[in-house]
Amino acid sequence: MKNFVLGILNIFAWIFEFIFGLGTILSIIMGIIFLIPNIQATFLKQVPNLKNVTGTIFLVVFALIVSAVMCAALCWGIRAIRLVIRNINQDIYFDQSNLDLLHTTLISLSVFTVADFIEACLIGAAKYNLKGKPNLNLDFSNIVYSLIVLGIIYVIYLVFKNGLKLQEESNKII
Amino acid sequence: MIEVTLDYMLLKRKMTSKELAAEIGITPANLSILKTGKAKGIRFETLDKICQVLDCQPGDILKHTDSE
Repeated sequence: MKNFVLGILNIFAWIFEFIFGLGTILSIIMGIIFLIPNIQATFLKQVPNLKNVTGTIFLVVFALIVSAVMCAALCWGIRAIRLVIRNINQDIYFDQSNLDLLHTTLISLSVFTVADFIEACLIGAAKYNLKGKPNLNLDFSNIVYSLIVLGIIYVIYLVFKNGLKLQEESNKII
Repeated sequence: MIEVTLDYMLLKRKMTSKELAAEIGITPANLSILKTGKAKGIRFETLDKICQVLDCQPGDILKHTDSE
C-alpha cells in the first residue's frame, strides 16, 4: 500500500515538475517574443479599449516574468517534495537530507506566494487598464490557499526537525 | 557518573571488541562509543546480550564513580 501510494505521488510529482518546468521556459520565451514591436502591435489590435498602451505592455512583460518565477518556484518545490517521497520510499525518514529538502520547499513556496501576490496585483491593474472597468478589483483568494499550504509544510518541517533531534538522541543509546 | 569497564572484561575473557560486537549484533563503531563513554545510555537488550556473551553481571561492566 505504502509503495503504491508513494509510487503514484512520485509519478504526479514528475508530471507537475515537467509541466512547471515547461511553464517556466514558455513564460520566458513569451516574454522575449512580446518585446518584438510587431507582436506588440498585433496584441494591441486585439485589445483596442486600453487606457494606457505603454503601461499595458509593461504590465504584460512584467506579468510574464512573474509567471516564470512562479513556475520555476513550483518546479523547484515539487522537485524537493519528489526527493522527500523517494527518501521515504527508501525508509529514510528523520535524515538531514529530508530536512534540507523541506527547507527548500518552504523557500520555493514562499517565493511562489510572494509572486502570486504580485501577479494578482498585476492582473488587477491590467483589468483596471481596460476602458469601461473603472474599479480596481484585486483577487487574493489564491494567496490564502498558498499560505495554508505553506503553513502545513512548515508544520511538517517542524515535525521532521524534532524527529531528527530524537533520532540523534536515540542513536546515542546503544 | 557511570563508567563502562568493558575493556577489563574483554581482557579477562580473552575476546576482542570486534568479536564481541559480532556476537551481540551491534557495529564495532557503536561498541567503541559504548567503551569510550560517549554513549548516552545502554539498552537492557544490549546489556543482556553483553552479559550473556561475557558470562558476567551488569555490575561487572558498569561502575559508578563520583567524578563528573
